[in-house]
Amino acid sequence: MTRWGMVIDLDRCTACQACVVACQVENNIPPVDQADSERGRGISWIRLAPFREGEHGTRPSLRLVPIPCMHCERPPCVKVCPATATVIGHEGLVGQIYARCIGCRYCTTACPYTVRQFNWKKPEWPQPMQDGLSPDVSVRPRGVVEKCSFCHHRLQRARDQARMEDRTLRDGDYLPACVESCPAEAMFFGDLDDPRSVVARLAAGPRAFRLLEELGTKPKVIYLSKGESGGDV
Amino acid sequence: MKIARRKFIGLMAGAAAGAAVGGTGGRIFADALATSNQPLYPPRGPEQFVLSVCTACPGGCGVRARRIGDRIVKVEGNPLHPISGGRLCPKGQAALQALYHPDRLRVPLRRVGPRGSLRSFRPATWEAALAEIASRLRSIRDEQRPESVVLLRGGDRDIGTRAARQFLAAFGSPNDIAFDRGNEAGAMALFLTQGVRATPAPDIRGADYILSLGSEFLEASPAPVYSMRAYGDFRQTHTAQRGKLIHVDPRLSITAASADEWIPIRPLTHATFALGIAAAIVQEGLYDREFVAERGTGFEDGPGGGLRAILGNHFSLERVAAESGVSVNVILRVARELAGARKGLVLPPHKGPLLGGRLADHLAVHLLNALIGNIDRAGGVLIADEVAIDAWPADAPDPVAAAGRRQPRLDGAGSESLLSGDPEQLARALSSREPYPAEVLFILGTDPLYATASHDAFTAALDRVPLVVTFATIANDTALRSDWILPEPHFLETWNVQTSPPSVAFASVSVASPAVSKPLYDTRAPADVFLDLARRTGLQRALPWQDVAALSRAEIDRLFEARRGAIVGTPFDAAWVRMMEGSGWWAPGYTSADELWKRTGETGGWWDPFYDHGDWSRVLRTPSGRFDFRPDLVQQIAGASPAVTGGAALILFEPLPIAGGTGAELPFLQALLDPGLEERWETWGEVHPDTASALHLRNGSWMRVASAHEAIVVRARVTERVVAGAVAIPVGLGKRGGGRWAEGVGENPLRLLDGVREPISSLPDFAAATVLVSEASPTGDRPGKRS
Repeated sequence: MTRWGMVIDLDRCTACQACVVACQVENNIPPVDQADSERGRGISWIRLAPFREGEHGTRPSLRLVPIPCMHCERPPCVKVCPATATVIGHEGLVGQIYARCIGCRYCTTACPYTVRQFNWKKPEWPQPMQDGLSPDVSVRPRGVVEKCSFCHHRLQRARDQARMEDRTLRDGDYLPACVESCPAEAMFFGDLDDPRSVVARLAAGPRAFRLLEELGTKPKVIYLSKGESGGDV
Repeated sequence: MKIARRKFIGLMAGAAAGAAVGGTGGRIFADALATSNQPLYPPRGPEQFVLSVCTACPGGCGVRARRIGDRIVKVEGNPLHPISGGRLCPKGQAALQALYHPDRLRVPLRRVGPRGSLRSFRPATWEAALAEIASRLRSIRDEQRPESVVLLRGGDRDIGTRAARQFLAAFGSPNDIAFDRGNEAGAMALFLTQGVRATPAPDIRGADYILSLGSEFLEASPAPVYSMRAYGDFRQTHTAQRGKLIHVDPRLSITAASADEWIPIRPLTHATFALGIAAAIVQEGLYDREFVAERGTGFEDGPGGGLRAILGNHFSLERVAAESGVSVNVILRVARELAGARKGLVLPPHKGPLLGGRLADHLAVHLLNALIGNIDRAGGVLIADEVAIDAWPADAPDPVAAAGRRQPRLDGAGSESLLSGDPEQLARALSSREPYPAEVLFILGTDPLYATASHDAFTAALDRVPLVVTFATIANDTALRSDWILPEPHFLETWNVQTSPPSVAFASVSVASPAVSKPLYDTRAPADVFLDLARRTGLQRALPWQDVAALSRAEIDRLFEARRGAIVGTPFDAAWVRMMEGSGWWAPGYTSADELWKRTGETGGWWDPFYDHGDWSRVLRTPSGRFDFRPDLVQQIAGASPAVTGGAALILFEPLPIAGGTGAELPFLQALLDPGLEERWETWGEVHPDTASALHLRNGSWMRVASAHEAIVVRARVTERVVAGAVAIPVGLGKRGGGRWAEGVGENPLRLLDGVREPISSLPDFAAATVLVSEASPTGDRPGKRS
């Protein structure tokens, strides 16, 4: 079986947010202006969450963690969706079917990682910005929920390419836009079930952890903590 | 890292609540199924990938544009490119928003009304623009005053700037003036100690311990993607042990957040801290005796008894601790860690492309690097070779040009001066019309009115020049006060030959070809403009090329003549070239200029990956041929003890999305100004809780920050990310121009400065300002912007 997963090395990550913009451009996310941005209407499928540590009087520290959809093995969003608009595929990708979504937002509430976002507005691109839209990704109408797809359309492209070259998919053929862009090379992507893949090796290392593991969601985004690698690379 | 579940949910709850309030009701459900009625036409046609070079900053990342039909739908890094390595920063990723920006300039604009507003401009044809500019240039030549033409330029690594400089030289003006604040102090420190005019290139990848004295190398380095890639490898590699990063600065920046330890120090004490570390290393005998004895001068002798004596006399641990606010124990521990590391590296307080730092700090850091033997060794401070095409071959000027070029420069800087360019002095000369008046001012690749430390002087100066010509893609602050705005193409629409950025230790040349079949608008590349002006002013002998494409080809021909380096390629290719060149062979993978042109077009460029460590005749070009520890200057630094008096210290920084004063134009970048405070779309000021309570400031309230001659109102952020007694404000917003998403958003804290200069370097001192901070509006409403 194939089980697509992502590894984010927090020791390499510099919180530059290239992943955020790479995702927005790749997935046809419309720009919002100052007023809408301040009302929280801007959409990003991956964002940097700050964790501030240290009480007043001690030296503070700041940890910034990129948070995409975790593509949980047991996704709470799928359980609550009354319209079967969010589903988990046989390769573990949690997809969102916009045409089925009724905008009830049960899923945005159920998701413990709060990575699902609702389209409060009709998407708009001032002329000529729509010329930069990617043909691989549909634009979302007002009133539906959207989220990180692990750039599923790139999997289809990689499959087509492999088929054309008459071979099977190789590790690294399919990378989401954020992983491809990451300047510090902190993000990795591949098949967690393939023991030879980079992500499987990293995920088995001593630095690996998952966010809110205790909820039993079984996230397929695995983080590597800061510190000595201890031979995991 | 362990994040408690309760804490995590608590943090997330804020975001979720923000998304859930506002606009509900049945209409949303009705609209949910209706698709957008805006006409959206998916691009059609074959898919192609075109190689280019990102010019959103000077970093020079090789990129690959995905083109479908005649539309560009994505920009990625070029995997073969040695600087980007297939990666891109948020600015590079947002390049499409810049290409398809609705407020791009579409035709040349002639000013017909008062300066300062786009409404004062009328569209014109290129013929009208070039005819008017050329006729002015011709009459200047006829009057034999070619020196009255001035070029103020931001970069020097792109083909347009090289064409402009060549034009200026042929025309006969000495006034080729760089606005390069980001690299000036570092280059000066290198020149004063090693006699080489270049930007130092710290080998981050090769180090295993980095002491960053306020260096924001993960946010606003001269080549951000290259620095971040190097940092990733510094942290986690297959072969070496994990590198350790210590950040010493008054502010917990994004770079500091990545560090293993943040050591807060008082503002203005970086140099003292660095020299204190140096003193401790010398006192404990941990310095590199071999380098100091064999390659150094001024350590045991010279003014003040040499560096060793000055360090001993003036930089005792107690004094350094008292001034910097860091305890003796910590200073001593850092000194021992640094000296004990196999490859310790110290980085100077470079805050970004506009805020290069002070010479005193850069010099102190460079001396510390020299003491631990870091000069020109792996994991130390390197100097890139010049690229063969960086300097044009000297031409024989005609008599008018020769006489003009002998005139003094208006800014008093240049090869005879420590400063490579002095825009503020230029502004004064333009206003006073001394030593001679300027007639034409070309402004290329920079927005001096935004970025200067002397805003009023610059505004006055632009009014005194009869013809100001600005190149821009979107009308910036300077363009709005010009006479002509010439629309530049976006980098995806034009040819470019870009040489390697500052702070990168190898020479490289990247080749960009247009990614669209024709530019979106009636724009012309600056190189084309100067080639045209050369034809119209009878200077085509110096610039004989038809257009920028022909010029690109000619530059690659010159690169072939250099007979070194190789086509960019995979890491394996690079290792091969390094091995061959290391044993004295040249293995370029091309045999003719035609082949070089073809292969650079296919791969994105050329580079020379081989670095010859310890070639002392190349890197030590002082009169003595030794590294000069400059006891004379260290004495001056010891004597001056800068202190913050009469208010809060103003700490300026440049967030990556808007570093260099560019990026505020793009909504994607405005939305990610600071991930730590989740700041976006506004200028904020960070104050410590102790300072805030003393000033009765509340988090989120409006705060007035006033210097002697200007005041701005910013959002107060009460945070322990900054030390007490200071206010930290980002630079990059507060534009008069910049299109719909930048104009009037936020404030420009550079306005608070009043042109104070650092004594030794005479660089504008961006760190020395003190400001008065007060509550601006207790009601939470935004009060009137200016006092």
